[in-house]
Amino acid sequence: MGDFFRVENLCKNFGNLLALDRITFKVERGEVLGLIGPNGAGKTTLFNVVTGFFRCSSGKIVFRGKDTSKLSPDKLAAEGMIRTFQIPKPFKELTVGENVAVGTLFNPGRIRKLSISTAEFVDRVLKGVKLDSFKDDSASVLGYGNLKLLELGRAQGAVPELLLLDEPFAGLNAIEIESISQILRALAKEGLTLIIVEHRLRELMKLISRVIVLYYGKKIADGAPQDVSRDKRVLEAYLGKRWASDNA
Amino acid sequence: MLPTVLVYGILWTAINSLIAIGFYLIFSVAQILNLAHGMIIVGGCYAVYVLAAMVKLPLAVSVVGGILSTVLILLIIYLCFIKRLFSAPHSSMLLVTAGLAMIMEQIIILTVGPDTKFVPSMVTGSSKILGVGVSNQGLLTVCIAFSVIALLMLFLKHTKEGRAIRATSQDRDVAVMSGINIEEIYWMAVIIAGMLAGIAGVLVAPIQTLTPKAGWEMMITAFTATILGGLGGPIWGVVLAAAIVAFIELFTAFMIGPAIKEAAAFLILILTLMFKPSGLFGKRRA
Amino acid sequence: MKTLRKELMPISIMLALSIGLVSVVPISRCDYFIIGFLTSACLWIVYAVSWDLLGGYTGMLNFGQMLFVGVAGYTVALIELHFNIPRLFMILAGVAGGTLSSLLISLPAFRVRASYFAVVSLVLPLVFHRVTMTFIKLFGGDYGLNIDRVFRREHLYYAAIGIMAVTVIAIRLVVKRKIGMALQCIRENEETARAVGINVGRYKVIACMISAFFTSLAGVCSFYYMGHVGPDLFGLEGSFDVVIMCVVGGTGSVFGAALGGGILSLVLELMRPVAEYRNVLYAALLVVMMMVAPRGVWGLMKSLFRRRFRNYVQQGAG
Repeated sequence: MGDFFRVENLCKNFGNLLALDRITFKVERGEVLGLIGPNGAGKTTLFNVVTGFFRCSSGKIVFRGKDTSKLSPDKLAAEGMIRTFQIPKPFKELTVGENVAVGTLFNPGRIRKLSISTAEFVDRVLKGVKLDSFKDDSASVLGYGNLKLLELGRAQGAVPELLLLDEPFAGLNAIEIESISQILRALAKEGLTLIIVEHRLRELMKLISRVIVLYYGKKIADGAPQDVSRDKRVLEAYLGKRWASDNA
Repeated sequence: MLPTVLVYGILWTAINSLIAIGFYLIFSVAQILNLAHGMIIVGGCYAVYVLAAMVKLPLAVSVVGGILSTVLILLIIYLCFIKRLFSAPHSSMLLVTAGLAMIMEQIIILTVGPDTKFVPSMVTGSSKILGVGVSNQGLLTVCIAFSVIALLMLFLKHTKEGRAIRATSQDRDVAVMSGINIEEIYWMAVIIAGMLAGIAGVLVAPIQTLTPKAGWEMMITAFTATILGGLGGPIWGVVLAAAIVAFIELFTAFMIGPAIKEAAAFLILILTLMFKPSGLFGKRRA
Repeated sequence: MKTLRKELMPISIMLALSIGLVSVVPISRCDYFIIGFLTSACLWIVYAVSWDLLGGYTGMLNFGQMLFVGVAGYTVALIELHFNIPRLFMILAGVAGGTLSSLLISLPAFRVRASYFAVVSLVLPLVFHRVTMTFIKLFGGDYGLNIDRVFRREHLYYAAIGIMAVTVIAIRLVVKRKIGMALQCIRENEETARAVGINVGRYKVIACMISAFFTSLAGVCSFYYMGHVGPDLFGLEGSFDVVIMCVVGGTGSVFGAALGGGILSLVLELMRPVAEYRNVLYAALLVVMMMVAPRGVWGLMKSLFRRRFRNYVQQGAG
C-alpha cells in the first residue's frame, strides 16, 4: 500500500536562486490539501514542477506508485493528474461543451474506466459546474466568473484522480467563491483528491482538511488548519516577527 | 591556415554581430520577430550603391544617406505596421514582415536589377595582419563594429535608459510594474536597431556579395546568433554566438566549399533549437 | 463512419467538381490554354490546402512549402537517373523523401514557439538551394536534372484533378476528426492543450507530414510532366505564392484555402503580360490582406453571413 501522492526532497533552482528547497510531503487519496505561503514563497514554482511545466532540479515526485518527476503535462494527464490555470485560457473557438470534451477525447484510457459515453460524461461535468445551459455556446461569450467554472470543467473532462487548482478564487467575489467552494466540496465527496494553491485564506480554510505552508522555498508547516494558523513560524512568515511576538 | 581562419573569423564575427544585434534587440525587448530585418540591412547596402554608383554622389554622403534611409525604413515599418499588429495574433506579425521583406526585395529587383552589384569601398587597399592579407575595408569594419558594440554595451549597462531596456528584455511584466514606460523603451529599441542595421549595411556593402537574396541569407545569421546567444541575455552573448557561427562557417567553407556555409549556420540553429532552445545565456524559456 | 456521413455534402461537391473537370478535356480538346490553366489551378489548390492544415489550423506558418516539392522532385529525378526500378517505387520514394524532409522543420520546432518554426521553414529551402549548387555533379547545379517527359499534358491534367480531389477530401476529413481538434487547440493555446493531455509535439510532426505528403505527391507528378528539376524550386517565390493564396482565400478553412488557390492561380495567368510586377503585387496583397482582412475572403463572407443572419433573427423575434 503505497502513498497516493508523494513529493520527496524536491528542489528547483533558477540559476543561483533556490526556489524550492528539499520540499517533502505526501497526500492521501481523497484529501483536500491547501498550499499557502506569502508571495514569492515558491507555491507557483512547486505547482509548475509537480504538474510537469518545469523540470525539477533534484528530488522525486511519486504519484500512485509511479515516478512522475520527468513526465510532461500530457503524460501526467493520462495518469490522472490535471491542473487548472489561475487565468483561465479556454479554447475560444470551441464550444463550452467541446472545451470539456477535449480532456475526455485525448485521454481515452481514463473515460474507459467509467462506463458511460463521452457525451453523457460531458453533460454530467457541465451540470456539476453549472454551465449546462451554455453547452453549445462558444467559449468566447463567457464572463470571467463562468470562465473560472469552465476551467474547472475542462480539468474534470480529463477524468482526473488528482486535481491541482491554481488560485481558483482569484478575481471572484464572495458569492462566486462560495459557489466554486460548493462544487469543490462535492468533488471531494465523490473521491477526487485536491491540492489547492490560494491566497484567500479565510475561504480556503473552510474547504481543506490539511494545509502546507511554504516560505522562501522551504516547507515550514504541515498540518490541520487550526494548528497551522496558530503556528508561530507561520505567523512570522505572513506578518513579520514583531506582530507575531506581540500577539502570540 | 590557422592565422587565416583567425583573422577572417574575427572579421565575420564583427559583421555577423552587427547584423544580429539589431534583430536581437527588437526581438528580445519587444518580442517582435522582424523577418524583414535582413532585407532592411540590404536595403541600406543598395541605398549606398544607388547614391554612390548611380546618382554619383560622393561616397561619404552616400554612406550617411544609407544609414539614414535604413533607420527611416525601419521606423516606417514599425509605425505603420508593427505597432498596429501588437494586439493581433503572432502569426500576423510574421506574415506582414515577411511580406514587407518580399516587397523590398522585389522593388530592388525592379529598380536596380537582380545581378550582383559592387559598392565602392570607403578605404581602399589591403594590409597584412598575422601574415594574412585582408582588405582595409575589412579592418575598418572590425574597428567600427567593435567600437559600436562596446558603446552599446556601455549604454545598456550604465545609463538609466539602457538599464530599462535590459529590464524590459528580461521580464516585460516586472518592467511595467516597476514604472518603466514600455512605449518609450520600444521606440528606443527600434531606433537603436535601425542605426545598427544602417551601420551594418554601409560597412558590409563593399565586402558582401550584394544581391537582393542577401536579405534572406542575413536572416539565417541574425536568427541563429540571436537564438544561440539567448533572449534576455547580454549583448556579448550574441557576439559570442556570432563568433561561433562565423568560425564554424569558415571551417565549413575551407573544408567543403564556400557556397555551403549557410548549411553550417542552419545546422547550428536546429541543434540549438532541439537541445538548448533558451540559448547559451538566455534568461527566458523558449 | 459517422464522419463520412456528415461530410457527404462537401465530398460530393468535390467529386462532382472533379468529374466536371475531367470532362473538360474531350470538350475543349484543342484548347491547351484552358487545360494548362486548370492543371496549374488544381496543383496550386493542393499546395494551398496542404499549407492551410499547418498554417491555418495548427498555427505553424510554413514559409517553405515548396521545399517538399523540390525534395520529392530531386529524389525521383536522382532515382530515375541512377537506378532501374519500377516506376511505382520511384514515385513512392519521391513522396517518402518529400514527406520525411518535413522532419527537418518539425523536429527542431518541436518544443519551441510557432514563430521559430516559421523562420526555420523560411531558411531551410535556402540551405537546400546551396546544397544543390555545391554538389554539382550529383544535383546538376543550375542546369538541374532532366529526364524525358513521362506524362503528357492530359496525364498531368487527370493526375492533378485526382490528387486535388483526394487532398481536399482527406484534409477535410482530418480536420473534422479528433486530430483536427487537437491541431486547433494547439494553435489556440499550447500550454492548455498540453495540460489537457494533448501530445503537442507528436501532433505537430504528424500535421507536417500530412501537409508534406500531399504536396510531394503533386510535386512528383509535376516533375514527370516537366521532366526537369532545378534549384529554382528552392526559391522563395513559390512558397510565398502558397502563403498568399491561403491568406487571401481564408486561413483555417479548407474551402477558403481552395478558394484562394483557385482565384490566385487565375490571377497568375491573367498577369502573365506583367509578370515582373507579379511578385511585388502579390507581396503587397499579402500585407494589405493581413492588415485589413486577416481572415481572408472566406472569413469576410462568413462574418457577413453571420451578421445578416443575426439581423434576420432579430427582425423575426421583434
